Amino acid sequence: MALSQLQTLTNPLDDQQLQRLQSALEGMSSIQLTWVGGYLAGLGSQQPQAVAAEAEMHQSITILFGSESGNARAIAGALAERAASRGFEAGLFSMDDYRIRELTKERLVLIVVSTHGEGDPPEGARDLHSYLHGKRAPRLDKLKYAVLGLGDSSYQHFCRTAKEFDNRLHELGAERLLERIDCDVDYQKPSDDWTEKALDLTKAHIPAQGPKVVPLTRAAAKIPQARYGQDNPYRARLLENQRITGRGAVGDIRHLILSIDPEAISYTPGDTLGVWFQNDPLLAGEVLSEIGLNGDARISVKGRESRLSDALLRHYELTRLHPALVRGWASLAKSDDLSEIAADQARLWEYIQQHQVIDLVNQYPARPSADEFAGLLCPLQPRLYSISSSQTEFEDEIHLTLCLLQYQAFGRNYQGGASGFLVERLGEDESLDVYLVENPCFRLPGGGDTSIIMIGAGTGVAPYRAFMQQRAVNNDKGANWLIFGNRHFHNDFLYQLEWQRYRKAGLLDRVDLAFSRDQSEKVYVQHRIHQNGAELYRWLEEGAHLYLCGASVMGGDVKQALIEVVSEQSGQSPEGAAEYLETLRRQGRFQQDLY
Amino acid sequence: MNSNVNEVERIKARSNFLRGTLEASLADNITGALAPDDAQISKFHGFYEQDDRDQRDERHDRILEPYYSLMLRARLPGGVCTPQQWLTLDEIGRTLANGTLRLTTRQTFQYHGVLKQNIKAVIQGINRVMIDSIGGCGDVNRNVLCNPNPTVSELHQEVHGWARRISEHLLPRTQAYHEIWLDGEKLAGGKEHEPIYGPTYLPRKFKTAVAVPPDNDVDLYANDLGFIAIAEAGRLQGFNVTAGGGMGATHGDTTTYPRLADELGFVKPEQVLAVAEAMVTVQRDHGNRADRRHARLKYTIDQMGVEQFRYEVASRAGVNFALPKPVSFTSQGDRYGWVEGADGQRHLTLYIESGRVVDRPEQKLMTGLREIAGIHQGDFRITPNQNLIVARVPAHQQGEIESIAEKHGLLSEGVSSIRKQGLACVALPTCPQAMAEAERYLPGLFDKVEAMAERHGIGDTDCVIRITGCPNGCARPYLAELGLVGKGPGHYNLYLGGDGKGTRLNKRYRENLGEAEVLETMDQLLEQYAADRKPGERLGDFTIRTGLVTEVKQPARDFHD
Ligand code: SRM
Ligand SMILES: Cc1cc2nc3c(=O)[nH]c(=O)nc-3n(C[C@H](O)[C@H](O)[C@H](O)COP(=O)(O)OP(=O)(O)OC[C@H]3O[C@@H](n4cnc5c(N)ncnc54)[C@H](O)[C@@H]3O)c2cc1C
Ligand SMILES: Cc1cc2nc3c(=O)[nH]c(=O)nc-3n(C[C@H](O)[C@H](O)[C@H](O)COP(=O)(O)O)c2cc1C
Ligand code: SF4
Repeated sequence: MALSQLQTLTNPLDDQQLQRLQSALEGMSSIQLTWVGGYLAGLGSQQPQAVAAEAEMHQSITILFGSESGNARAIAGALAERAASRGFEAGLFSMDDYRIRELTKERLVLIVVSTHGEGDPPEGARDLHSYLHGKRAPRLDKLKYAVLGLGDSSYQHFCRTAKEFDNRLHELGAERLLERIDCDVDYQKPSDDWTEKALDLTKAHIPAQGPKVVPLTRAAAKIPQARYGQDNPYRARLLENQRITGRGAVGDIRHLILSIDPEAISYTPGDTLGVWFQNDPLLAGEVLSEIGLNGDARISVKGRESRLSDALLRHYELTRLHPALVRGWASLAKSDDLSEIAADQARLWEYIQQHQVIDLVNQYPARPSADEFAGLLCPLQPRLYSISSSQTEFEDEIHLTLCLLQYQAFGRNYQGGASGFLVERLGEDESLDVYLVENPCFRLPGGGDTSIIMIGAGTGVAPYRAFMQQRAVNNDKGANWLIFGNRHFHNDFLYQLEWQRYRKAGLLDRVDLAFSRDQSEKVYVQHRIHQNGAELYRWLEEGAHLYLCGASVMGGDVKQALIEVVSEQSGQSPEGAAEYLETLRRQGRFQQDLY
Repeated sequence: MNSNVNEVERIKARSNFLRGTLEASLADNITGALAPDDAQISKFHGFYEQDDRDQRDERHDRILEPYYSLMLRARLPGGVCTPQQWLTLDEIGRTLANGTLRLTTRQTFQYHGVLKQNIKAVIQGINRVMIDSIGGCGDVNRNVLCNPNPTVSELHQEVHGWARRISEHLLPRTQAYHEIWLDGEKLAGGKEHEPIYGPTYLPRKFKTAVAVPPDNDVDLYANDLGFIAIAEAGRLQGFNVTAGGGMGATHGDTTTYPRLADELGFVKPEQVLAVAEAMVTVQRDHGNRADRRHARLKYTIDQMGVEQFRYEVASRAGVNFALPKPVSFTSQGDRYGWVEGADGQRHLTLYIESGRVVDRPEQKLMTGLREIAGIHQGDFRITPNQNLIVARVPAHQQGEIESIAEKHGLLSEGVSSIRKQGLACVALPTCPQAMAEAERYLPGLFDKVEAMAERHGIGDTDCVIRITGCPNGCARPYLAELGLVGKGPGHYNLYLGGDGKGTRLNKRYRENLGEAEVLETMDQLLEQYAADRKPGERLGDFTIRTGLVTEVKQPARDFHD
């Protein structure tokens, strides 16, 4: 929020204080502001008797409704009107428009919800319902609430959803303001009565309109306590593994939620996460039997003795090949064929890209000893993934957007080492080793007023999700433009609902989409860049920052398209246009994260 | 505008004669849906926004919007189309829709699963064979039903001509459809004029049917406006006019109810259009625009009283209603297989389960019909029971058509008469209103009911069973001898007491039965019926005689008791 806005709210500072605060904060970047906000919040909490007590309060009633056919909506609407006419400040939200994470800040929530399906929550109530019932549900000790249920007693599960909300809020520590009422088909009278009662009781809990202060930021200032790194990874827990591509999609893309301690890991939008993984035990077994080795054989890994089969799971690459391995294997297998490949850089590279270790041992039989074999293998490398959440929004979580690498060749199925582990082998609630990889070269503009253009295909969209979360929380005024591509509109529009919500809220100013396989001729992001060249160039000229993220192949095509567009629009030669982009890059206005 | 009108009225009013922002909605590629206003306006152009409800929850979890697509319903008065038209319809169904054609209870067809970006191509495609979808849905006169019986061919042709004329006379006049879909010239909105409807059209849908006794396959009394053809010695004399029929009701809301139409009187053929127009304008001016649940003509008439309503219509139309001629209906079903008409032409009625024209491994309906269309020289007629008549086949082609039908499993030999009389509405997964399955529920249910009937020794019983996924009543379930109306997933209300002729409403017998309870209840019922029925007594009549249900006489009062 801008400081000027603070003024329009009833605030506890006098003009002089406000002026001093304004001058102190002038010129700070958003990151600095965030830090200062947290710092102040921290200071405040050490002076409980003073302003801070008020500052942390939301002195209003929040009315949440979940409605499918409009009845609950109508009742909630009437409730809000009556609350307003009695002088309360009431916020009215459909549960699906409500920022779930605000709940912990609420003091008084009135819920009106119907039941549908076979005792299921209405569509719009599902997210809140499952959030509250899930393991991510927060404690709500400071909350008072009351629930009005709508249903039809001719159904087996009369008002089940209302009952569930009521019980669950209670379990989470919230205090019932008023007994729940379960309204049947003739709900008007009972719901009117309940509304009156609820508002009467509300009066006792919400004092007359006092000064209202909106806290400066949500997160408290924190300096990471311990430094975790590649060799000293942090143990995170997998909370959720949710497929986010549609039924018919070729690609299997997952939204992963990891639970972390914000004291331990503090990240910024644009950062990536390093992830350690274990190879597939079936694959390891197959490799061993193919070359006739016993998994119980002992080998030495980094000076420590280990079982060969364990080492193959945890210490060596089993999916990726590397040149030394191919060369070494060629001489072990005494294969002229393989030696020829190994001797030719281009063919070697091609071979490596299209084969895994199992193919090598299958295609060129050899019988190395355990030590010999291990000696050729490459040590396991962690993989990197763009973080797709903002910590300001999800303080104790890291979200990843992960594509399962899988393909068929030589009559069998293959998976990638890390993506196979994360998607298929790691169970929810199990732990994994991760570490933060800061990415200072992929950052939101320092000033929130700067516009941004985000170009990405496939999982390249991941950091943009984090960007948008951050810009939304910051209330940044700069315009946002997403240019996204994938295979099919219906199946592969990653985070579609979120982009739609941002657009509806006016945060996403432009969206251009390229779904390559929805029409006979292929359309990619670079085509959209061409089509919108004039607009794009105008944005750049007006100071927009440009981002490019995703697979390197796409990156190359996009850069070419950008050069062409700049050249067309500015009348410069292609070289001049390339120089223009290069200048942007040097100024930090054109940032890329390609892999 | 009156502040007391509902939101749809406001949307119509600001739509500039049904243009809305449809073009912008189509161009918006961030969603497969239409803007909310346009999802109302699109209906007047013949299409609805839907989503695949089977995938809805799963997609929500996947942070994807529902799998939106459009359902387009054509206007096809009396259900008649040519083989050339059929071939085009078939091709569009295979290439631009979900690979099926769905014949409806109002004698037309629907495409399901049309993606937003393909809707224009679909409309242009049917337009190439002179079919449109104007008023396929929306608050206007809908597809006009007409008894398709081709055997009395001259009379039918004449009556069908009237059905067509009524449909055309009551078409909206706005050029919006031509502008948006057929790239017609853009008219300035100010130049538009809707002489019959006015800028906000009707308060609600409006349905018209024309019946030729003794067949009541059109379920005449379920329509807002009905014309019963009165013929003497095969020559059309005029029509008995009926008004105020409808099915739709809401569970638990006793102010809504199905209602049979009242007879207003007899008119001459040349008075038909004036009467139809007057009826529409009375409804336009007197229908309830505040509450869509009470906006159908049936409620307008119950508000005004039949006498007052008849007077209004007569004076607006400038006609005097003569006393209605006596008529009698004998059945609401179709006759299957080959029949020969008065002129020696042959007609083959095919049973199409729930009207779904699709290729399945055991029955290649779509392929079969395409092959027939390839050689057929007569026409096709969609019946109000979702079936298809291959009509006007010259005697020498009968064998050839029969063998194509046979090859693809199109003939209904061996299908029980219970099944052949049955109807199910579309319901899940496309219908947004569905509370329970219907079309997908019918085949399995009928397998079990057939077995039951066999067990009680009444396997050949002829009774009308209809299933809908919700109380809107799209398969006219309240006119069935036994109706199942969806209440929630896997749950139905059971209605009994129709007369098999479409002239008596049924009544609720049991509420909210699970599928197992449905079977149990039907089993008991059939057992009782088999044991205690009088010779020739129909199931519906039996249930009333034995007091299982009481007859509904004034639905406004007694449908819900
Ligand atoms: C396809 C069809 C059923 C079928 O299995 O054949 C059908 C299907 C739908 N009907 Fe119907 N109705 C169909 C005949 C009927 C009939 C029967 C008739 O007209 O003879 C009725 C009962 C008669 C009547 O109108 O009272 C009927 C009463 C309704 C109603 C309730 C109207 C009311 O007055 O309450 C709705 C809901 C609405 O209008 O709000 C409805 C709405 C619908 C919708 C469009 C759902 C919606 O509102 O979005 C259904 C689309 C389902 C889908 O996925 O295709 N449909 N609908 C029929 C198409 C007829 C046509 O070609 O025009
Ligand atoms: C900065 C950065 C950010 C990244 N962000 C993301 C992100 O947000 N989301 C994401 O999903 N990924 C991201 N990646 C990629 C990610 O790090 C991994 O590279 C990816 O998940 C594949 O790893 P893997 O272990 O599953 O497969 P690997 O085990 O590394 O690969 C399997 C091997 O299979 C072979 N192979 C692969 N495809 C074929 C084929 N079609 N035919 C024949 N052989 C084949 C190759 O030899 C390949 O080496 C990012 C990478 C970087 C560098
Ligand atoms: C398909 C369907 C299923 C329903 N299932 C239940 C149920 O399981 N339990 C219940 O109490 N009410 C059930 N109801 C009734 C609704 O909760 C009730 O109509 C309520 O007033 C709807 O409120 P809303 O319009 O705000 O969604 C169901 C309604 C429908 C249409
Ligand atoms: S009766 Fe209900 S469920 Fe069936 S098609 Fe009509 S509106 Fe849909």
